[in-house]
Amino acid sequence: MSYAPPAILFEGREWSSDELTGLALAWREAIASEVDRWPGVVAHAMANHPEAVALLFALSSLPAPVVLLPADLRGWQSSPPIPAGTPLFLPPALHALAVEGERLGLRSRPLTAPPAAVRARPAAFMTAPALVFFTSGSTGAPRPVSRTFPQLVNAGLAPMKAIGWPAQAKVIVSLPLDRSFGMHQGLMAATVLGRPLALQRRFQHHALLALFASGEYHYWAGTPVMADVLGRCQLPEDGPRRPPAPPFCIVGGRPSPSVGEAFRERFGVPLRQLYGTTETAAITMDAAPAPLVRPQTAGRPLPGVSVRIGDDPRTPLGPGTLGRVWVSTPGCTAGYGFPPALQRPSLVDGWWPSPDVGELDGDGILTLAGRLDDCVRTRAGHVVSPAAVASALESYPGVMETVVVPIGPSADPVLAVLLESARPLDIERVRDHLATRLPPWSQPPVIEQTRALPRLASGRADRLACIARLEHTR
Amino acid sequence: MIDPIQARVQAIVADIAGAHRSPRDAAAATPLGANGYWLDSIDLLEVVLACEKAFDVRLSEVDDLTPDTLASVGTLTDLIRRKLG
Repeated sequence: MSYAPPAILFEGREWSSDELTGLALAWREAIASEVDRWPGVVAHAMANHPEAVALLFALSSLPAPVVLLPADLRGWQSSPPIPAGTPLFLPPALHALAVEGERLGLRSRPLTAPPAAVRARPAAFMTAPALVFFTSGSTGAPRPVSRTFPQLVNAGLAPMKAIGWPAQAKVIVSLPLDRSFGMHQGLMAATVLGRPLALQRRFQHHALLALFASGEYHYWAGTPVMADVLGRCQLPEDGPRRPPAPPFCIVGGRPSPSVGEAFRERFGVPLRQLYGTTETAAITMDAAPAPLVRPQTAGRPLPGVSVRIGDDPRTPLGPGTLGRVWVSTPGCTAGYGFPPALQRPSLVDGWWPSPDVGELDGDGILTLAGRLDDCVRTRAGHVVSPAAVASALESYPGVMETVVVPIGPSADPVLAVLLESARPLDIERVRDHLATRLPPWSQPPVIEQTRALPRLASGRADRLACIARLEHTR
Repeated sequence: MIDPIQARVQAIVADIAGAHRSPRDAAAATPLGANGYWLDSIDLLEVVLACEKAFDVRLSEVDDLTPDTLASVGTLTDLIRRKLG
């Protein structure tokens, strides 16, 4: 099956599929001989712009692996760094990135617009050997993750299969296309459907509401923060009290209950969680009929994907028990690094160890509970998620913010909580509250309250100071 | 005497930043980001939503909300003033 760039609506202008295909073909001709001779990867700043989409399709038809850089390269650096001298191709809209590209040791190669429109014709797009994304960098410098184009196509197809192949669907994406989630749930979703894509340069809530109001779109992919803004921003005065929204609104992350409720109340459609990672693309999704969607859960594994919970995927834990999420998927990365020098992922019998913890219910529906790095393992072997404890605590009236941390020796840690409250709270009542929301092994033995958490200059809670205080109390 | 629009903008920003992040000597020139209120992109979105509601204006993401207009309390105040006509 051959794919072509989807038609794109961008900042009020429609770029047809033929126009984008023509651009891709022109740029392909301009760079083919250089890429053919180049022995390594080539780089592309994947901005949310139609020209960047056309250039991606051009590069995807050449024999070099393509590295997708963010559009904002200021201060950006990966680990390992991109090989020095790698060509960075820049369409006219992105020429300003040349300086930052040089800072990274890349060889900036600005492209010009073709002098005349190039007639579209079928081309073997998406045949390049690999596409390299980067991890988010939330736990260190962004790390390159290699994926293949067939994996990319499958990752775009899987959610569409799950929701039943909407025939007239159009797609809106407010997410950055250089990230795995935006690429798969935005550009690839529109590409595999062969349907138009409304592309936002960045999240713009007024423009997004206008797209929603058009009633033409079927699928929107965003984040819980975006959904939060949409659920409570000012609506146009002349618009309906309940504005329309695409029937499938997908968020990559767990929205708070209040965000999920506000969104459903305002738009009449539920938020659906889609869980995925850069290494695997989409893993699970809530594709249930609208009345049955539960925004707090991440849904069921997508077609072709399996999930297990536990320390070892060969001996998985049963329903209702928290543990590491293991994933078996044909979409798993071939490895970390820049092709062909890849460090293979550490699989166990074909199962990839995600960095996340969660639990499956009796119906196979996954609920995520944070990252494994943040979890505490009790002496009895139970995995306790501080995020789940914090969430339960913060639903208690008067609790403003909490820091949930392990204290004591690492071999036998104790879960401790410092909670911020403007007024004194009865800690026994707080414990009663937790007892109805958390299993016994997740109950924190140490709970202390304060009127003001110790904070860093940035305003975030100072975890080390909190730990010192809790250790002292204990 | 402090301009009433600036006072309201400053109150909105301080409310979102919280007491621990609001500089004691905050003024029109106080940056909204680093070395000022230390607002991140999500905080800035909150400020925009709160200003739209408080002043009943619509701030265009393309034309109005630029790094220059979101630089400080003063530049944001100037933007609101322009929108109010």
